[in-house]
Amino acid sequence: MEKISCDIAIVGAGIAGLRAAIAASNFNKKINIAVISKTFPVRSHSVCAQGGTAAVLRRGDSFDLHAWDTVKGSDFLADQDVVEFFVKKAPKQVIFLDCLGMPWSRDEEGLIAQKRFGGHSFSRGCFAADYTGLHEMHTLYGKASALENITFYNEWFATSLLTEEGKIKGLTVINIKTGEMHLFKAKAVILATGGFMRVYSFTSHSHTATGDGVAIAYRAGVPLKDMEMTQFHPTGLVPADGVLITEGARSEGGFLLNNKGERFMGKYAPEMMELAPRDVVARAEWTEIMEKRGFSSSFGKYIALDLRHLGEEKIKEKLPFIKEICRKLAGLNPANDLIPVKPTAHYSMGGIHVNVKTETEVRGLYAAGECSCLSLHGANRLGTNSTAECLVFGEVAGVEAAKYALKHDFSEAPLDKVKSEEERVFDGILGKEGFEKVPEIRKEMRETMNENCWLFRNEEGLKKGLKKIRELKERFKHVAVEDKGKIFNTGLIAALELDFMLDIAETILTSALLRKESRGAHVRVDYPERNDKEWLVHTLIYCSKEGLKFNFLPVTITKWKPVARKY
Amino acid sequence: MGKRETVRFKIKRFNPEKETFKELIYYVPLQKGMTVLDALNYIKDKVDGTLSYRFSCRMGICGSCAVQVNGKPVLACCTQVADVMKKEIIIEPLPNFPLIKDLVVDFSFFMNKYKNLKPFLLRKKPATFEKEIPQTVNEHSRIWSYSLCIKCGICFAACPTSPDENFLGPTHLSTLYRFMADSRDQGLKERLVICQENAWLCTQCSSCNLTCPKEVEIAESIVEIRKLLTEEGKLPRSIIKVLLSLRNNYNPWGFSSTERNKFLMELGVKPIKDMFLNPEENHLFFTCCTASYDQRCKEAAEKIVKSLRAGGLALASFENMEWCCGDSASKLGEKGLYEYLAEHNFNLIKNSGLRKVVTISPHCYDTLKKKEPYKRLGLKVKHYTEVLAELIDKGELIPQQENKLKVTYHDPCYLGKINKVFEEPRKIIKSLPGAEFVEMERNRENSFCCGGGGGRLWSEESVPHGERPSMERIKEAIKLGVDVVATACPFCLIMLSDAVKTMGVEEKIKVEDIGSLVYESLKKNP
Ligand SMILES: Cc1cc2nc3c(=O)[nH]c(=O)nc-3n(C[C@H](O)[C@H](O)[C@H](O)COP(=O)(O)OP(=O)(O)OC[C@H]3O[C@@H](n4cnc5c(N)ncnc54)[C@H](O)[C@@H]3O)c2cc1C
Ligand code: SF4
Ligand code: SF4
Ligand code: FES
Repeated sequence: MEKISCDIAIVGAGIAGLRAAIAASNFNKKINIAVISKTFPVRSHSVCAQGGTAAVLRRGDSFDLHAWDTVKGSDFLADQDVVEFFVKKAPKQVIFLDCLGMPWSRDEEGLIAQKRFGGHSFSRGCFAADYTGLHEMHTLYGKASALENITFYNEWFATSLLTEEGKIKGLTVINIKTGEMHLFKAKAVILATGGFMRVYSFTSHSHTATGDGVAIAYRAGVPLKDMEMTQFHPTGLVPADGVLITEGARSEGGFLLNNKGERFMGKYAPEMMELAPRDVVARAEWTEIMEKRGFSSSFGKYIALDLRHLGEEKIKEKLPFIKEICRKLAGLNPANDLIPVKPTAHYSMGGIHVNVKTETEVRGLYAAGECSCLSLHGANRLGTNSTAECLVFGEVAGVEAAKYALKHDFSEAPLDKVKSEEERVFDGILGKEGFEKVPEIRKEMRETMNENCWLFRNEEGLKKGLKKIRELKERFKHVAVEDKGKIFNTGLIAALELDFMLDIAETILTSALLRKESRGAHVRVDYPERNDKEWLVHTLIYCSKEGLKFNFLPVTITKWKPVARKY
Repeated sequence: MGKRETVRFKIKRFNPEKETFKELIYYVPLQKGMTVLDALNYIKDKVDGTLSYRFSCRMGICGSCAVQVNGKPVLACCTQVADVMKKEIIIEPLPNFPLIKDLVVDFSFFMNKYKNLKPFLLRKKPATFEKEIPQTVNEHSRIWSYSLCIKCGICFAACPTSPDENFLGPTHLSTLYRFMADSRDQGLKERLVICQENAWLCTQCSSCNLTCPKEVEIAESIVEIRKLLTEEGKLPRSIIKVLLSLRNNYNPWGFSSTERNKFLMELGVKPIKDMFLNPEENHLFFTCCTASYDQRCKEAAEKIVKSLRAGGLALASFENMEWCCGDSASKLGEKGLYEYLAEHNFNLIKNSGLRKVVTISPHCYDTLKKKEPYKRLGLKVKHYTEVLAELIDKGELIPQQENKLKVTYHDPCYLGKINKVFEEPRKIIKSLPGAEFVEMERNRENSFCCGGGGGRLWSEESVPHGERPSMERIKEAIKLGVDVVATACPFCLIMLSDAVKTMGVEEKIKVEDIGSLVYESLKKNP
């Protein structure tokens, strides 16, 4: 097996990974940085981000206001020290991108334009029409690609972390093009592998958002935090499996209608209406559908998003991508037609447990972006706070990892672990003559999650779901990959991803069973109230030799005591 | 949708381990709203798990899923199966990229080239990242559409010039322009160095624009780059010669303007002088510089005129008062020169009162029909193939002489994919007694450029280049075993017949203008 040495290995080339790479490179030009990504960087899920990036830039807004909106949006599960740090750092990131060439949309004075997103009480979402993520990604990639001390390993797939005595040693990675496994020796590793909403079947996430890094960390003994907190976005395009229609569509003035033609949000959030936080709007929609006020179609029940009153011109100027998606994927013209939408699995607030410096419990291992859980978003993330998080904490991770790498030397990687990883992948999965199929197990997993761990949860459903997922894990042991070749074996990659997702599904269900209250995105019908007395805590899940273990962490509160959440 | 329809897919497979190619057939039950990507996923999940292809976002933004569907590069996730439905839907990997496996091609070289563009703002003083750099809404809109590129590689796959290693390619040129045009950027000089040699290699065939899923105006961005290069005086010598000739002789060929259109008078075309010509009866015949001065094209033009007249058309010409339509000047980035030439023709035509125009060249056709100032005249512009097809259709022109020939047709870009005149030339060929018509693999919308447009005809010598598109095209025709490649554009005629000569295959294959073929079949009844 070929060995590759680098000072810092960054797994993932989305917004967080690229931002980390640039930060590390700028921190010290002598550090050599490997960016490992299972797709070409610009194919990362981050390009899908449409709406915007939150930052306090203008008079009238303030750090405290942004922080308060975030804390309230989180249903008070956010760690407030992290939130305060974050809001102060976000503006600089927006400017950083601007100086690299990001085509931010502009206001009349030629300054970066901003609009209001759900749960924010100020227009602080910076945007590039509805192509924000695309431009952030191409801007970062443009810069990173030209930095001498960054090497890209594109279409390389990380399979496991190598740790010993609580310290990172490196990782194992498959070069997809050759099918060979490589040992990466690294002084520091940053995981920036993105979210995992592909455990659901109706989702806005890219097919590649399978949570690999989260599962890899979990298997290496790193705790996962608040895994039950999965966000459902109110406007997933119904005829296209949940492709996102940005919240920006409602920022621009779009309405949500039930089958009676009513703007039903008036009942649920009389002040903020359609721009209430996502958990509130998604639940309102689901309630309308369950109470038979949804529309019907061959694709199932839905709610209508009405943009018609915005007119052809405004839609073309402000929401060009939405227009294109509607046309190409659903054959609709939003200037004339109602857009069929319903809640779609969209974001994972939970993830790899890290502190405000993005450190995990393993020395030299960092995590940033959607795969991590800083406890910035608590129980519900506000729109535009995620790309901002990827930028702020991508930079933090890059700098911290660089500092760490400069202080430490390479140490020998545990070769026995490498060997057992090779056996797991090549003998255990690729070489196996089983009778189970990846697509079938994957489909059942997704249906199980949709059925039992959706917007409204209860003990019975969660238990049923957990039982099913465990059955599927058993069945996975008999899975066979049809393609036996080594070169570009997408069947093998799909099997490895499914293996990871099954672990993740199990932790989501387990955490959801643990949290016996309703908070933010996590609603237990059997425990409908928020319970600050017992549950103002984070859930932590570990994988140990004896199986799943859990623990709780207190929430850090600095300025804002929990109050009732009304919009 | 009622009863479930089944769609037949033919997928080109490549097994890299065994180095074997296969074409496999799969049947997929059609569902409402099904995209080509959905169909591929169906095949992989339900029928054949060994199929390899890329995908991620399934919403047209990550650029992973580009494949060739029925000969046209598209994003699989944004292509409805119902829209490409045929007896059989053919799926192949993108051309112009090295193949890895099945539908997966190697993007490494394509992505690695990206950093050479310096794809970030270049500033005189290094940025401190303290303050945003103001940019007006207007300035922003100048870069916006060029910044939407998702690096899917579709334009690169469609471009006839991209196999030429010296060519930066449509994706990278348009991205480069996006930075040149950014009001915040101060590195224009540095950027021009990257493209000064190779921006001239583009043929302006528009294949890139017509296939780009994000509607990036790539060909236009290359013209803009040429404009900037011209302003900086960074032009190849051959191009300078062309531009000078256009300025002094009103044609790109360096010939005296007094010689223009001499041959027309001998053929009985009416001169437009002071005499009033009835605009109902008379057609303005707009010759094209190349047809006036290039011997081969002139011969073809003569035959076109004779055929049109045989069909009873009254043709009139400005003789040597006609100037180049301006297309070449405009595509070479010389906007001022274009306006100078066009203004002259505009006034001539306006004063003549004639409104019906027949052109030989698809380039004049495109310009007179669609470009300012001509557009303002509201001319009824027809390409001569449209007129001939109509005359044959009405029985006013009857091809009688049998010539046993196997003929294929090369669509000129400016007639075919850009102006959608596909059927008339084919109709004409099919009406010729003894002619057997066969299609090349790449035809109509997916036709392959001859490589002569956009000023390439004149830049051939002085710009370094690799494989020529025209030779590739001739190879494609030879594979069909045809006697003749017919075409309908002076540029194509020159490029393709030169390729035949260079390749030394004159014995095997001939390049002919459709007008000549028609004329030959009329011979007996002049
Ligand atoms: C449709 C949509 C719209 C959104 N809009 C907004 C918005 O408007 N504003 C906002 O703030 N947030 C938005 N979000 C959320 C935000 O886009 C994401 O949270 C964020 O982009 C995640 O970035 P990331 O860098 O953490 O991960 P990603 O962009 O997902 O990148 C993950 C990277 O890891 C790599 N990777 C994964 N596994 C492996 C492995 N095993 N081996 C090697 N590499 C691996 C991938 O190749 C990829 O490069 C949106 C999300 C969605 C789904
Ligand atoms: S116009 Fe034609 S030759 Fe020029 S870049 Fe586009 S496809 Fe290539
Ligand atoms: S310009 Fe268009 S076709 Fe070409 S790579 Fe970019 S998005 Fe794809
Ligand atoms: S899958 Fe992303 S563009 Fe098609």
